[in-house]
Amino acid sequence: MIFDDEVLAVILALIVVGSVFGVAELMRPRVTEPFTALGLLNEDLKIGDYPSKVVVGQNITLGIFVHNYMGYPIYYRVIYKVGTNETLPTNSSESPMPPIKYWEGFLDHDQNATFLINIQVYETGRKALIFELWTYDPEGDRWVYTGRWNHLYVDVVEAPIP
Amino acid sequence: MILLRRPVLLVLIAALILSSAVPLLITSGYALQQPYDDELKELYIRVYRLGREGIDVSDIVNDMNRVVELVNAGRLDEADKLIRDIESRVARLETEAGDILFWENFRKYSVVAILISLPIIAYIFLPRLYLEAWYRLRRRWLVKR
Repeated sequence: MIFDDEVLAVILALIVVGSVFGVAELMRPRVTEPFTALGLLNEDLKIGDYPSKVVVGQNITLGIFVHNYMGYPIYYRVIYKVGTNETLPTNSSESPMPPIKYWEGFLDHDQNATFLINIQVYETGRKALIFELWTYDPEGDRWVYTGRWNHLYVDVVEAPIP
Repeated sequence: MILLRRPVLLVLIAALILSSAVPLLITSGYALQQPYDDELKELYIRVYRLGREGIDVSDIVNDMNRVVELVNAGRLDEADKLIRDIESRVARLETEAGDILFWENFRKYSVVAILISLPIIAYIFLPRLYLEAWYRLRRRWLVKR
């Protein structure tokens, strides 16, 4: 093997590049784009196969997925509301409908939670089941809407008379 | 006069009953009872500060979730016990946070220093090590005249 100046230069270049990448990896901020995520799952905790027609007062089982990538622990609340296509939330504002139920918990950075929920709808017609993700703001001592929401349209019908 | 006022009074009473009934419509799924809600909020603020500083609080966060589950299951004694345990662990972490962060940073910057010095070390020692290896591999060689 010939170990001349050129070979040494190539090896040194590789070491320099490797050490630069190593230092950059160590020095970069832990989280560059903080986010939270909310997912709506079916009763098997999978995406799809959601109920589309339900009876008034019937138990609807769905799954909720929450993920935290904020760089710090979060205290979250998933709020359930019933609305229509005109009362859906947006990325910046929550639905104007009143909360019916909520589920809460804590998540450390890069942790997620998946759990089953049971809900009911008591109004007939085409309804939107709305789920909003809120987090507790420890600096301001208040609950803040994260801009994450999911909705599921269902046709709510009267119970058939036996 | 009294008779005229009675319907007004009834309407007022009905309005009062209705307005007080509105919050009852907002039922909670896994909402915590008020004392636990406040207690966990206070605990969360302390855990949040530790987490923001870079202290590993994942075990504590998992236990706080466990408290939520216990409270919702009505196992309040266990929840209280776990809260006391979490509080003592958080207090310990708060006092040790400075040391933990110092050693964490020490470890991190030591690795950075080693990585930065690697090219210089390689530049100085690599040719010498190569020559050393070259000579060692050929030490049994005989030079022909």
